[in-house]
Amino acid sequence: MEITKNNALLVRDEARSGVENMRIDECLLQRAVPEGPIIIRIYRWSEPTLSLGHFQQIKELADDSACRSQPSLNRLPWVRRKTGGGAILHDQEVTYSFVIPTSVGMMEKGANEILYRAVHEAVRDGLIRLGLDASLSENCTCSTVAKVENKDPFLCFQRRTPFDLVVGAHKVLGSAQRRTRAGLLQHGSLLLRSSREFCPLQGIEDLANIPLGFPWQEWLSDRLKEGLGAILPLNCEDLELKDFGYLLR
Amino acid sequence: MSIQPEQLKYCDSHEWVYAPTDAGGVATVGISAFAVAELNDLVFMALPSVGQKLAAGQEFGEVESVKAVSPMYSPVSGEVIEVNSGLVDRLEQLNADPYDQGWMMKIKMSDPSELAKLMDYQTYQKMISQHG
Repeated sequence: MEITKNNALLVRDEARSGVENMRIDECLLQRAVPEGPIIIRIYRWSEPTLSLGHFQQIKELADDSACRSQPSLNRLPWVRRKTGGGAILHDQEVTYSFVIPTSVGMMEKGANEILYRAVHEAVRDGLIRLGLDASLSENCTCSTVAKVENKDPFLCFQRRTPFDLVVGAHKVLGSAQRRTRAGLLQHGSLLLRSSREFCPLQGIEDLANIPLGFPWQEWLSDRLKEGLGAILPLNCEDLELKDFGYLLR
Repeated sequence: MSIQPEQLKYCDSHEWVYAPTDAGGVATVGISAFAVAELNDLVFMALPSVGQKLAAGQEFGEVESVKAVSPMYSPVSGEVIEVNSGLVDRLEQLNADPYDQGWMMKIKMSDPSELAKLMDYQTYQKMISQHG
């Protein structure tokens, strides 16, 4: 994919409902134009929420053995993402999205691994600087065969795909994409801590000594700029919330 | 039915269409071997319903490879008259044979002249080879 323009806007958004968060990302993707800017969004959720991969059904939650042991997941609100992959529990994490306009020319299908890798490597390097033994996964639990045999875990953080970011046995960052004619949307979730809604997953703060109140949103913003800046000329401007609201009108 | 890639017309978004003159204005649609290879490992697919009306360039379905959802676009306008619904549960067939067993829908064309706007096999091969 060719990048059409080197300017970008980044917004650290306020906490919103699942429906609103997904509506905004969908809106940004729909409005992508070849000459338009890359929009990067860092955000949180106003209450613990499950976001399902585009093709997932909520009834699959009951069929997943790991999720059955955590019945509180059943009563959480849920939304469906436009991107693929497994369900994410948005509670003790930070979410990012970005939309990159595609250039006019040949369209592509499937994942853009360059983008995955660039972002995940930047976060990996940042975590290493914080003292974590972070690396990119080479394992894959998701495939045509795994789907046929119904072996894909329901939750994204219990799956492994190449370029997932892991600390030891723990996945701490997963991302997923969606393409349209106009652009590519990438979502990702950085797991900070274990959630009482699903205890088995551990996040960064459970795995290292991180100062209390560490500014994860700002930290992730910088990693996204680094990662995207490594593969395209990026001139990123931070956007005020009020200006972001204007952008969505 | 035995469809050979050299017989087909192609979109820049990698869908193929098979519409021989003796097919009564019915076009068979799928995605190219190049697209299947790009998608790598397919996990989900959604196809249209019979009776659905599509415009050329309109999304007719979606496919999820590991972690990425990609739309599929109709090469021609018309009404969907048949869908290869079994393919959704046998996505491995698409890897093995994207041009025959991997067909996705048949569409009764409303404007067969649209076929002339699509690429022939040689032009499509040139486009994907330039992609590197």
